[in-house]
Amino acid sequence: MIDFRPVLFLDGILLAVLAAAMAVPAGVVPLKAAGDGAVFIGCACATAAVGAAMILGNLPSQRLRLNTQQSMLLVVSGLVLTGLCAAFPFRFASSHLAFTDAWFEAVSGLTTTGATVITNLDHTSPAVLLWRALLNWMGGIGIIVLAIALLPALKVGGMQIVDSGREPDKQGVLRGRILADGKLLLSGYGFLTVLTGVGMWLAGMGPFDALCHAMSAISTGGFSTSDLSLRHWGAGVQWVALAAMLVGASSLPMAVIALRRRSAMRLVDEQIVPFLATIVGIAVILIVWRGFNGVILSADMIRATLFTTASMITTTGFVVSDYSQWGGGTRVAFFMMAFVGGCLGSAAGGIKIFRWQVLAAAARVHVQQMIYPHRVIPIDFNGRRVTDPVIEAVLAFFAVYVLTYAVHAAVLAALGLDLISALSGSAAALGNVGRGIGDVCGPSGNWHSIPKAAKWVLSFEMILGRLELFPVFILFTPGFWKE
Amino acid sequence: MGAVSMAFRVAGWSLEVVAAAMIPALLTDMVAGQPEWRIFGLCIILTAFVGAAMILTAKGQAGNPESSAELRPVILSVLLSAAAVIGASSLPFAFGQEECGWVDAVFESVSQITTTGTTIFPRLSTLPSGLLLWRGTLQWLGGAWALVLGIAVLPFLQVGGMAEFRMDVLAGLAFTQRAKRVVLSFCGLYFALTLTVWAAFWMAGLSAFDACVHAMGVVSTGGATTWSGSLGHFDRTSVDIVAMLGMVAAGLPFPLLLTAAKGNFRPLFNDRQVRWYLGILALSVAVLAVALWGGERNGGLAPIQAAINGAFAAISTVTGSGYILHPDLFWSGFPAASLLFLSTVGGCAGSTTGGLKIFRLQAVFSEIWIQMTVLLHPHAIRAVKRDGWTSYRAVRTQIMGYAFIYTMSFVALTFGLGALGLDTVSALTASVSALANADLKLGAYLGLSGGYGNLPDAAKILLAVGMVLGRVEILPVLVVFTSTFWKR
Repeated sequence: MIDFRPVLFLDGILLAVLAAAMAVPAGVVPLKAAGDGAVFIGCACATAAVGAAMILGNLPSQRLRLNTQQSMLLVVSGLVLTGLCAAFPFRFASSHLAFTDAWFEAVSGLTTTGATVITNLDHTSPAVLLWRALLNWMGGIGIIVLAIALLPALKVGGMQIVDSGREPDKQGVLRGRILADGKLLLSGYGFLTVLTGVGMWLAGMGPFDALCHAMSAISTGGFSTSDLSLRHWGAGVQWVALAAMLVGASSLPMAVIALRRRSAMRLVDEQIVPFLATIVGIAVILIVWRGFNGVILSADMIRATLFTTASMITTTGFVVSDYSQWGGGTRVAFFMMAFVGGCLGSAAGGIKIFRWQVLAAAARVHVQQMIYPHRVIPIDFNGRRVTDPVIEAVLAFFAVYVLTYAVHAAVLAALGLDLISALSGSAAALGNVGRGIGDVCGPSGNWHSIPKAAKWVLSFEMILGRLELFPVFILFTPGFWKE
Repeated sequence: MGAVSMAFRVAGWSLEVVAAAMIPALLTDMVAGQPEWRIFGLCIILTAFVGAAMILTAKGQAGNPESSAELRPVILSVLLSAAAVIGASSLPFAFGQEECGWVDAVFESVSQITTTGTTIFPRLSTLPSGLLLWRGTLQWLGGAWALVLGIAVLPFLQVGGMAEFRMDVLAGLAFTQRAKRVVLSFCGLYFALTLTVWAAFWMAGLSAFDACVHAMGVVSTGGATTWSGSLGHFDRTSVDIVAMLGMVAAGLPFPLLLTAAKGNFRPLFNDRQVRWYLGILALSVAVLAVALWGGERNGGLAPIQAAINGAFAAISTVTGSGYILHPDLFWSGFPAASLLFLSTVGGCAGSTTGGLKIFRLQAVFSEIWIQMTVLLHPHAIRAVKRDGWTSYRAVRTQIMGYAFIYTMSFVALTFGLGALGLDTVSALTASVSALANADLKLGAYLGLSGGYGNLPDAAKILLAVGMVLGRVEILPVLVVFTSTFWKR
C-alpha cells in the first residue's frame, strides 16, 4: 500500500501557497464590485483551512522522502487539488461561472493553456482578471520547477536528458533539488515578469493590464484581459509580448540554473538555436506564402505573421490578428504548430524541441542503417551520447502523444464538436496552447459554447499534456497500486 | 553499372507485364464495340516495345549485377520499375476520349497501381468498360506489387522493422530470384482468392463484368468500382458481406494464408499479428456500429443497418479499400474523425494493404507498456516478458523511428496541400489517405462530386508522390536522397 501521508502533506503546502495567492486579487477590487473582495478572502480562508488540515494531519515524523509512486501521485494530485480550489473564486465571484466552467478556467490557467470560457472579459471584475493571470503565472513557475527538479528524476518521456552526465541523485527523488534551485528560479522568473510588465507599460498599456499580460506572457499561458486579446493594444505592446513569449518558452529559465550547473548551460545552447530557427523559419515561409497570395508586404503583416507563429509554437495563444482569414495554407500550419512546443525547462507545452531533435536523429540513424545494417550510429545531444533508454522514452512519448491526441479528438467529435474544432481543440488542449483553428479555438472563438462533457475531456487533456502524459496514465495501470 | 542494368531489366519485364495486362481491357472494348480498343492496342505495342528495348539494353551490359551490394540495385530497380509502370499505365487514360490531361492520367494510374483507388473521374459509370476494367486490372497488379514488396523486398532492406518478416526460404537468394519465387508461390493464392470473390459476387447477383472489377478491387484493397455509388449502388446485403469477407482476407499475411490454404490453419490463427488485426477490426466495427446507431445527427439508424454500415466502413477503412456504402453517414462528427484515424492503421505485413500496418502498432503499444513498467521499476528491464520479436529493443526502436518518419511525411504533405489552397479537412484527408493508400473523401474539396478531380494540378502531383511513398514505405525513396547512398 502506498503511504499517502507525505503526498497529502506536500499537497497541503501547495494549497497553502494557493490560498496566499488568492488573497492578492482581493486588493484590487474596485468599490462598485466590493463583493468580489469578500469572495476571494473567503475562498482563501477555506483553501488555507483545507491546506492546514492536510499539513497538520500528515506532519512527517522524519525527513521527507518520496518514492516513485508517491512522486507521481504528488504531481497529479497537486494539479487536480489546486485546480479544484482555484475554481471556487470563478464560481462565486462576480463572474458567476457554472462549476464545470470554473474548473475548466482554473485548469486552463494552471496548465498555462489559456483557453477561456469567460465571454465578456473587458467588463469582468479586475479581481477575476488578476486571478486568471496569477494562475497562469503560478502554473508557469510550477511546471518549470517540476520539469527541472522532478520529472527528470522520474525519467518521464526522456526528460532525464537534463541530467545526462550528472551523478544520480542519492538523496531521494525530491528533496534538495527543488529547494536549491527553486529560490534562484523564482527570483529569475519574477525579474523577467517585472521587466515585461514595465516594457508593456512603457509601450502604452495601463499598469493593471501590463501586469496581467506580463504574467501570462512569461508563463506562456495566454490569458488576456480583453476579448480581443492583444489586438486591443498597439504594435509596441505586441513586440514586447513577442519577446516575453520567446523568453518564456526558451530555455532561459534553464539558463538561470545554468549559472550553477555547467551541464545545464550546454542544454541551453543545444535547444535555443533550433527553437528560434523553427519559429523564424516557419514565419518566413508563411510570410512568403501570404505575399504570393496577394497580401501586401508591410510591417503590420510581418509582425502579425511572426507574432502568431511565435504565439502558437511557444504555446501561449495570444492573438493579434484574425488569422482565420489568411487562407488555407496558414490554417493548416497553425493547426499543426500546436504540436511543436517550446524548450525543455520552460513553461511551454507541446512535444518540445529536444524531443524533435532526438526523433530526427533517430530517423536519420534508421535511414543510415539501411545502407550499413551493422553499423552502430550514436546520437549526440548536449555534447554527450544519448543513451538508448532516453531514445526509447522519447519515441514512446511521441507515440503516446499522437495516440492521446487522436483518441481525444475522436471523443470530442462524438460529444458534438464539429470536425475541425475537435481536431484542433484536442491539439490545442494537449499542447497547452489554447488556440487553434475553427469556431471554438480559432482567433475569435470562445470555449463557453461547447458541451459540458467536452469541457471535462479538454481539461483532462490539458492536465495530461502539462504533466507529460506518463504520470497521469501510470495511475491507471494496476501495477502502480501494487506493493 | 551493375545496379543500373539490373534496374533496366526489372523495369523492362515490368513493362511487359503491364502490356500483357492491357489485353483483357482491349478485348472487353472490342466485344463491347467501343472504339477505344484501338487505343489499348496502341498502348500495348508502345509498352511492349519500350519494355523490350530496356531488357535488351540491359542484356548488352557486362557484369554480374547480383554480386554487387544488395541495397543500391534493389532500390533503383524498385523505383525505376515503378516510374516505368506508372508512365505506361497512364497511357490509356491520357489517350482516351475523356477530358483527361497528363497530370490527371498519371494521378489516376498512380492511384490505382498503389491500390489507393482515388479517382479523378466525376462519374465512373459513364466511362467505357475497357477503361473501367483497366482500373481494376491496375489495382490487381498493384496488389501483387504490394505482395512482392512486402514479402521479397522491404524485409530484406530492413525497412521499419520489416526485417522480422524475412522468410527463411527466401534468405540467401538474389533479389530477382526472391521476387520470382514470391510471384510463383503467391500468385496462385492471389488468383484463387480473386476468383473466389468473383464467383461469390456473381452468385450474389452482380453481372460477370461488375463482379470481376469489384473482385479485383476487393482483393487488392484498392476499391475499384464500376459505379459512382461504389458497392452501395447495388444495395444488397449479400454483396456487402462478400466484400467485407474479401477485404478482411486481403488484409491477412499471405505467407500464413498460404499455409492455411494448404490445410494447416494453426499458424494463421496463432499468429499474434493476425489476432491483433482481427481484434482491432472487431473493436472498430463495434464502435462505429454503436456510433451510427446512436448518432442523433444521423437520425439514428436501425440496429441492423447501423451494424452493416459500420462494419463495412470500418473494414474498408482499416484495410484501406475505400468502399463506403453511404458516404453521407460518415460526412461529419465522430464517424468522420474515426475514419480519418482508422485509415492509418492498415492490415498485416505481407498483405496487399497500405498504412502503418498492424505489427508496427503492436510494437508501439509494447514499447509504451515497457516504458510504463520502467517508470515504476527502473531496473525491471529483464522482467519484461519475452514474447516474440516485439521484445527486441532494436526492432522496436526501428519501428518507432519509422512511425515518426511516417508522421512527418504526413505533416509535410498536409502542409503542402494546405499551401495549394485546400481547406484543412480536405488537406488532412487527402494526405492521410494518400500515404495509407486508402481512399477517403471528407472535406469540401473531396466530398463533392468529382472529388479528387477538382484539385489543382500541383496537389495531384503531390498526392501521387505521397501514394508512391506510402506504397514503398517511404524509406527506399528517402535513402536515395542521402549522400552515403551514392558513395562507393
